[in-house]
Amino acid sequence: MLYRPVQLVLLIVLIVSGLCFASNGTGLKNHILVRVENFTVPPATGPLTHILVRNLHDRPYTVTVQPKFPAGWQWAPENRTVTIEPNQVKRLPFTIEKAAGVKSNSYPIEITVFSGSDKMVYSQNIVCVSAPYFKPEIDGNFKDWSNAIPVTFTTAGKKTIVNTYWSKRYFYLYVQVEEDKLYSYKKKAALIDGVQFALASRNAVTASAAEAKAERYEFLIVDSAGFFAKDKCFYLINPDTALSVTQQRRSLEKLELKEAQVVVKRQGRTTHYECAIPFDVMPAIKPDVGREIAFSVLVHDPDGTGIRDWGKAAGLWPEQRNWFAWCSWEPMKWSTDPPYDSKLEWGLCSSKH
Amino acid sequence: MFKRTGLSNIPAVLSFMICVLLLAGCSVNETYVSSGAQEGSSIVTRVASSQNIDPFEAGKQAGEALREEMGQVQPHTIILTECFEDEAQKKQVLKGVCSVLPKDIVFGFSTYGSFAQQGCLDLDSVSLLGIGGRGIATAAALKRDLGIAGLTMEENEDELSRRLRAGGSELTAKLARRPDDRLLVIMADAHSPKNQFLLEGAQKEIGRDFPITGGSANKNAGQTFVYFQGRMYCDSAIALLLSGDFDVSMSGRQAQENAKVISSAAESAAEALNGMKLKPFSVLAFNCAGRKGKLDNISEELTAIQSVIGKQIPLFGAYCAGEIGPADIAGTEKTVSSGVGWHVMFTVLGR
Repeated sequence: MLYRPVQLVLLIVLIVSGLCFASNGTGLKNHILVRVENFTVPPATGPLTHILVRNLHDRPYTVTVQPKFPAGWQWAPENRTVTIEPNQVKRLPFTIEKAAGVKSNSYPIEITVFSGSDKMVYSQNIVCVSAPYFKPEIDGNFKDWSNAIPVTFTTAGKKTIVNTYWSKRYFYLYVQVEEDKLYSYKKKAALIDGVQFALASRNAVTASAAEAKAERYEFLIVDSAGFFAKDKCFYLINPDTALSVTQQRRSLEKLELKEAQVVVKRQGRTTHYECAIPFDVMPAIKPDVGREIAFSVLVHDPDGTGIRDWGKAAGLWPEQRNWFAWCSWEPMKWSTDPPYDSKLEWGLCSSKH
Repeated sequence: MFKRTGLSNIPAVLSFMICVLLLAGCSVNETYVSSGAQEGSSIVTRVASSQNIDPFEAGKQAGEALREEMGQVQPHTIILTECFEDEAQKKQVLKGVCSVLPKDIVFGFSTYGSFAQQGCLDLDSVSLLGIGGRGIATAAALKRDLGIAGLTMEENEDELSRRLRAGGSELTAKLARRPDDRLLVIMADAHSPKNQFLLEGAQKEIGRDFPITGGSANKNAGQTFVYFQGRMYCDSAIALLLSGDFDVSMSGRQAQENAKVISSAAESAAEALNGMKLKPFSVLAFNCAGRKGKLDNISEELTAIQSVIGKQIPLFGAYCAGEIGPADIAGTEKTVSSGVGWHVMFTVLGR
């Protein structure tokens, strides 16, 4: 007589605990987002790196975050335990005490997040996003860029390589875009290829209201059609401008930045964009060794991959998509989803060594 | 026949002798010794700075300002730090300083800027520390051709370590020693973490207990110079030994975030000042340029330092690519000084 009730109780216990376990097993994945920020100075110089943890749940979460950096590296502390309020993001610092740079500039990181008996493992490849001090000639030669720290990302099978330098007076950018065809800038062009990039001070944020200020400088560099035509840089927005401007499909004609130096060259299946932007037009950014800034790049390849977004490649969360993050212009076309935020970590360092 | 051969050799012999004489004339004296320190005599240290986009004018103005600050006392040693882009501009800075002050007493290095009681200086600036009076003596040495240009920690750590240790040892061995030696200042084209190897070489000669401070030269491409007797050198290191009847007190702290950079500078300055039992007469601060880059407002760190040391005592600060002094790292082997990065290293001089 007692046998059947015991069986039932056991069955109920098993089902309930199974459900609880299932709930816990997916709980972290459903409620906690993780992202490792890229290094803003070369790893060998002992950077402070940050792991971002976001709680999507409607109740506080206490988690232990334990990173695992490449073999042979030393870091401190070994892990951090934090309580995160609903919708809060916590930025957890870890000091890299011993590390070595690699030519590929790609470092696999594994983050294990614990909460009670629940566990989640998150993997991300991070890079060193830093502009060494150097003054290249903007001449379409590109040989000067061997001391830069290349950041490579792939979109729909096509590579984009971003290199940066700085001096006290200029920010230098060199982007290699693998693409089938280059569409140059000319009046009334239906398609234009280009590299759009944004620079801001480290603490700048992108608001989500049209009347808020932009808090960034944004540029577009393009090839100019015509044998003698100079390649161009357009100045799309500055920090004092209302974000409503970003939504206007402005003609580029009146936005040219004459102070910039630009060379765009096509070699094989790659378009090379090289430019120098004077810091004089970006007074909110103080160039200095060790200075952290915000930076991002969009590559326009309308007949190929569409828009290539460094924010996506760098692992920003879907919630960090924002229509106000980048300026529209004529005749560029967005995809159906908003672009990712234009303010990602970047650094100014002395050298890559 | 014999006679004719001898005569025909005369021009060749003369040419050889002229070359030898010219080479001797061009050779660089790699040591310097000021007059000796006399116990109880005066010690005068003063700081002067200038910022000007014309590098010659900047150097000249700083030199003139220092001369005025020093008053009747002629400096016998000057430490120069400058923050100009490119070799040509740096040459002009040196020319400017040496148009006012004797070049034989000018030593220093290229930095990322400087700070003094008057404020923080960044690009297009030069700062001078004048050392004079009979109570303090100096000895300086230069080690050229360290042989580390182009070598990296990733690929050449063993070779770097060997060359830098040898270089540091050779550099320090050249210094004229005195019984009242108090502080060694090393300024080198060897940025963090390479500066530790150079320091270990120096410590082999002078001892691990001897107080050593200093900074690494700017490592931006084309700016890695040290200055010895008014001349510029790459891939080199200089050492300046201070002697006399004074004491030194040192402290170092590291930080990589705005608020901590500010608070750690104040803590370190306080520790160095509290450790000085005599009356402080000068403060040296070798600070990390990376720390400066983390500051939202660079003057806030100086304000924090001044809240501790006041605004009267001469303060000579430089932003460097590596620092030598007491390391603020848990588990560091106990030596007075280490070569590190991300630090501010204070030395308070008192008597």
